[in-house]
Amino acid sequence: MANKLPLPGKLGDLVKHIPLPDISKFFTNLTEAYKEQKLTEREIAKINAQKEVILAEISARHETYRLVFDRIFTERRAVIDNLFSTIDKGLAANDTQLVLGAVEGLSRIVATSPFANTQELSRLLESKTTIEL
Amino acid sequence: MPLSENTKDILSFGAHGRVQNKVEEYEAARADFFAAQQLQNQCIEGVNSALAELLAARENAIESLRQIRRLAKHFSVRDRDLTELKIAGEIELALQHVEATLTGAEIAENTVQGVTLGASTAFGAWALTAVGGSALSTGATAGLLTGLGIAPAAMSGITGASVAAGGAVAGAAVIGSLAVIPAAAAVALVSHFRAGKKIKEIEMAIAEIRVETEKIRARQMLLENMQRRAEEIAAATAKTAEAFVAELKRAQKRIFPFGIFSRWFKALRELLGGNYFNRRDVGVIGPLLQIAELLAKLIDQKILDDNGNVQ
Repeated sequence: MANKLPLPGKLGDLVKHIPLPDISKFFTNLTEAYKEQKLTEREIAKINAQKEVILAEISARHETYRLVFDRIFTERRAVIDNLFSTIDKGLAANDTQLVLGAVEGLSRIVATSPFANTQELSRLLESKTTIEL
Repeated sequence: MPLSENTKDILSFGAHGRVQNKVEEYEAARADFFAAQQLQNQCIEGVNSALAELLAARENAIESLRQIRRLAKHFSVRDRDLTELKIAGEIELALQHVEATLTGAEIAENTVQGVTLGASTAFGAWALTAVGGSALSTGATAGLLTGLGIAPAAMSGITGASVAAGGAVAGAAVIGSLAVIPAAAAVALVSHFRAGKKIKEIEMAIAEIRVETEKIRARQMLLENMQRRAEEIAAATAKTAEAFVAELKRAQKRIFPFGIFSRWFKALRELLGGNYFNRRDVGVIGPLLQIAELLAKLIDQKILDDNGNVQ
């Protein structure tokens, strides 16, 4: 009886046709790749977590600054507008002293930098100190 | 024939799709970065416009302030009968301050004329830094921010070009390496596992772009504040100049009630050894000069310190 070829699909027969070292190398490679993937996954998760923390911190800090500066400029605008109307009143009433007083106030407020306390604010934000209001 | 995305995905056991998704995320981050940069450019235009407004307000204020010289030339604290007046001393100090401001402006104007630079370059630098500032050594009104070194390119550590280049590297190269179709299922499996490395690289690039985007947003806030500060000083200067001009007219009416005749009379009195201004005149000039001095202070108000920071 002539030699019959093994039916395809039988693992035992396949082994006869593929050298054993190659199979072993294949599984070694696969295991290494799997381990590497797991390590990389952990690293990606770490990068993601760090990124989110940093972004959240930057974003929160910016929001605080924005809020603070909006308030500062709004308050200054209100005071300046009041002084403008006082100047108008003084000019209408020919009251030089009233005009002078309002211009003095205007000069004082403009001379005071709205950013005067920015460094202090930065320091507080950096130190993460709780600010009692 | 090129393989479809689906086929590539199947042949790489999903690796191709995973990388593709991450590349899309990267592209979205880049788009966000460019949008933030565009918004920042709009802010720069806003600041330039506010600075131009401030410059115009200061130029007008200086023109108004010059009128005080017509009165000042007749005033001396050493005048007899005025020395005991406290206000006379104050007037002298106010005049010195006003004169210093006017001289500063005139030196800047003469520099412009002398070296025939573009209109308002030197004067603009003087008017915005107002005495001693060095940050604005170049740049005309239209491009002041470029002169300040805070134009978009200089403001950003990561430029549009570098992001675009980063996109090409992280995108095309990654796709390219994975587009090599695995010869066997086993290799595809390895490729699937190794896609993580590429994803990690893209993830790091995304993190960098997002941090840079946040930095641009911070600079945007800085620019907004600079615009608000410039507008504030411009408005205060314009209003004070308006008040000064009105008070000057009123003072002139009181000091020279009969116009040229009053001037002649005062000149004659001075010629005969008397004072040009009497005590009543000094009482009128005093508050006017105080307003002039405050206007000079506003004109001198620095908007930037020597390091180019908003004050």
